[in-house]
Amino acid sequence: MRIPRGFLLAVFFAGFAAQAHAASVFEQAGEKYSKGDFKAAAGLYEELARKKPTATVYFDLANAQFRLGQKGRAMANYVRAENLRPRDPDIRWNKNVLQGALQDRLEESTSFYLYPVRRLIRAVTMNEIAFLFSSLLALYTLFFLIGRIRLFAWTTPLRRFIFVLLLVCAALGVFKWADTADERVVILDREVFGRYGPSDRETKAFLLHEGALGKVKDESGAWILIALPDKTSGWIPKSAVEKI
Amino acid sequence: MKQLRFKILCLFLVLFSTASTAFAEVSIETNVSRSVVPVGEELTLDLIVNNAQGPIGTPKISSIEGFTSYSQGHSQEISFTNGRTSSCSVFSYVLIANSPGQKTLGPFELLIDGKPYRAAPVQVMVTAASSSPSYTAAVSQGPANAPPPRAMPSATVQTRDIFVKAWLDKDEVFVNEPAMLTYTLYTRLSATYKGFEKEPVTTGFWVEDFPPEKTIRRTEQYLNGSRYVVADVRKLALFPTQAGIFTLEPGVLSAAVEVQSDDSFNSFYSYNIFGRGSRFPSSFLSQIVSQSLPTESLKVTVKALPAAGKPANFTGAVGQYEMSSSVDKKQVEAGNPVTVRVKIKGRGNINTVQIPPLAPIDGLKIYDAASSSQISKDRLIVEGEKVSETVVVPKKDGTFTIPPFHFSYFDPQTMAYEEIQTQAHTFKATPAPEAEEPLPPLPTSESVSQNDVSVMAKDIRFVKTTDAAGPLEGNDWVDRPLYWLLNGLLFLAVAASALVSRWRRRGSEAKGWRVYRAGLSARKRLRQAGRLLRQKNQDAFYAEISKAFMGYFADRLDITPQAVSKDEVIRALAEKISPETLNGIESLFEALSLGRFGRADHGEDEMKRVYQTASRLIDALEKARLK
Repeated sequence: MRIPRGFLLAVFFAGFAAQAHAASVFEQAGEKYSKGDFKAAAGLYEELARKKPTATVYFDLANAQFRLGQKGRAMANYVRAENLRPRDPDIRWNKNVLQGALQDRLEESTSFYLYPVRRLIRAVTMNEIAFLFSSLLALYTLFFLIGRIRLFAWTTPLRRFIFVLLLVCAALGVFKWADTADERVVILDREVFGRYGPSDRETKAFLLHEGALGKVKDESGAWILIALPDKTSGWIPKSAVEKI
Repeated sequence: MKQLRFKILCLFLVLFSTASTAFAEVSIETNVSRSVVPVGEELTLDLIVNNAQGPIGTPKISSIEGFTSYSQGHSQEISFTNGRTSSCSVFSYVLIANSPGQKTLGPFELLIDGKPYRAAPVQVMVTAASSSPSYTAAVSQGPANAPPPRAMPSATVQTRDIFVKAWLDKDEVFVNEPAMLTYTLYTRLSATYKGFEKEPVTTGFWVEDFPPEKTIRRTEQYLNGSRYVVADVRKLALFPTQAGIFTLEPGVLSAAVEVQSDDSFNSFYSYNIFGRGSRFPSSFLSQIVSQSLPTESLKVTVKALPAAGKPANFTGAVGQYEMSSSVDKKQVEAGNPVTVRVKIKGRGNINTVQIPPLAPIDGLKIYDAASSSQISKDRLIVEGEKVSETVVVPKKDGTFTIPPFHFSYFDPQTMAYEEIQTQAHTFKATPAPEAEEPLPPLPTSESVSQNDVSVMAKDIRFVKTTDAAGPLEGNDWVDRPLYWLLNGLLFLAVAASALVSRWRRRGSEAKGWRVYRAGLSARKRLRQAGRLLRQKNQDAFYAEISKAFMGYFADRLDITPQAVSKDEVIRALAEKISPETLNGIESLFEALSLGRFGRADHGEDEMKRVYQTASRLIDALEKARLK
């Protein structure tokens, strides 16, 4: 089947126009932010985040929301930006500034020997681990294939070293998966009580404030069970949180 | 013994007589908090039952015309004094006078232990309404969840008991003129404001939220004859950004309301053994329910600013403003900076105010201005100041004049544009000292006194102005089947390569598959020979061992089974295997010949030896490279 040339051209230009429009919206949003029109800037960044979510868009959106006093939403978007670009110093800085402005100080309870592993897996994305794994596997395959030739017999130790790296990389992937398997939420309400069960009648377990982060452990109707970084858990209304 | 019985009998009689006289007679009193009350105001009616024995029924109030009433609860106190027990039950009602005149409250009837009792009526004079009937003098400040009002409803909450009104202080405003949106909570119940379930939709407005501690104000009001605790729970200043008619969706508030628990439980504990005013039984008998409080949408008309009289330099500022300017130095050397500071201060949306820029001046290099703003909402108005600082550097000596700055704004109070300006400032630039001597060498690091850079304030960093997504950003690859397919292909490549390599290794000795299968076939036949050994089937055993051994050499040496002979095998393997193995092969050939073709009957031990030798030799040959 022959595709008309005109159709291909139309598809190409439509894609190009969409890219140009996104760039224009991004610039407009930046101008609005610079002029202090944070509400308009946030609206434009939200539009971009729906269409083409990138770390930069989430970061800028979080900044606008921070300026509007929406700490919960800002935290959600800083976390989204950090998930995509975990080593970006600007994202880290702004997230730390926001964390310093929150009422709840939630510290993770990590054992001493697991702390470096956790730091390492939080500094890389799943895509980076996947890319590294595939690259090592490709390299291993290459050395394995050329190692059959007597001329390349010297590559055997190198191939064994790559195999070890491959195992380490796979282990990192498993740790990363375990770390990100639970969905994360951020509190949007100014304050919300965590309860021992999914009902207003249940005993209050703790009080959380806007911007606090937790992991979803269970859901029941209009309630979700969240676990805080210190392993405390409680049920809170779904309406009080935003999933990241 | 008789004496002891007498003592017990006496003691019993004394106790019985005491118990029978412990309670005095039942009496019922009525008490009102005030005998004269204006219309719209309230009084408290107490029915006090003293020394009742047994359960007390709910009082029947036969006449309470001209009043709106609701129960305030029932309490009971029991006391033991000098061996005497007395009790006091109080039924309380709040009555709100509706019409003037002499009113009779009662008579009241109630059942005590099934017997009817009656209390005398009470006279109350209701006078005409006072000058401010809808608003009492009892105005207090405090949070919305401060001391609750009186009534506690049954498990369902009526909308007339608690509701929210959202209201604007103006229905018509100009563009960028603030309209104050206030949420007022009215409650007759014990309620706590919990925030917003659904935030207001304020598209088309710049919103400034006032801090809650400044906005929440609690008062008491009468509305349609009922007393309400009224609290402004949230205030927002809305600055419209464009003209038009806008509908605001003020959102939904949430409140926690205390309601009575299950009826049977309540009736069981229908008296309050902890006395009146005690908080404990209340929480014992009640529960907190969450109540959504919707508000009605509001319309606001935003008028465009008048075109008539609009100054050329008008940039959209609306409110009341003052402007001042200053320079930090009156005299500098040429080449040194002078800071020009312009400050605009006043009421309005200070964030959107644009400070007029400094026009180019001959002989001055002007750098971009930096501005900062401070907003205050302490007085429930949006006000503040914006300051711009421009650095200018005289390029040569002389006297320079910073011209006045002009600023215009629209004042909605006077409905007119106002123009304001600052004073001109002059400063003198003296000639820069000429370098008569060559510049001194740069100071060494030892001569420099350094200070740590201290951070003046902590704030978020600016937005990123370029959106360049990294190649690895985006959805997780591990969720895509293509990723696993590609990795699977790589795994397959390694596995296939390993297999091929093994085949090649064997194939280099003879013909791939035949050589590869040689050991497997031989072992299979050896297993069969093992079974024949256990059956002591000598002929079949030697025939099977011979097939295994001959077949193995035929496969490994890639020759036909008929071509396999002791001499041929010895010749082919002479240089490739150890002499012990070679001797073993030679002796096994001989043993097999004797076993198959000899007439002698070989014992079981000999068969076992042959079997073990054959097995061991095939293991050894499998490890050896024969070609």
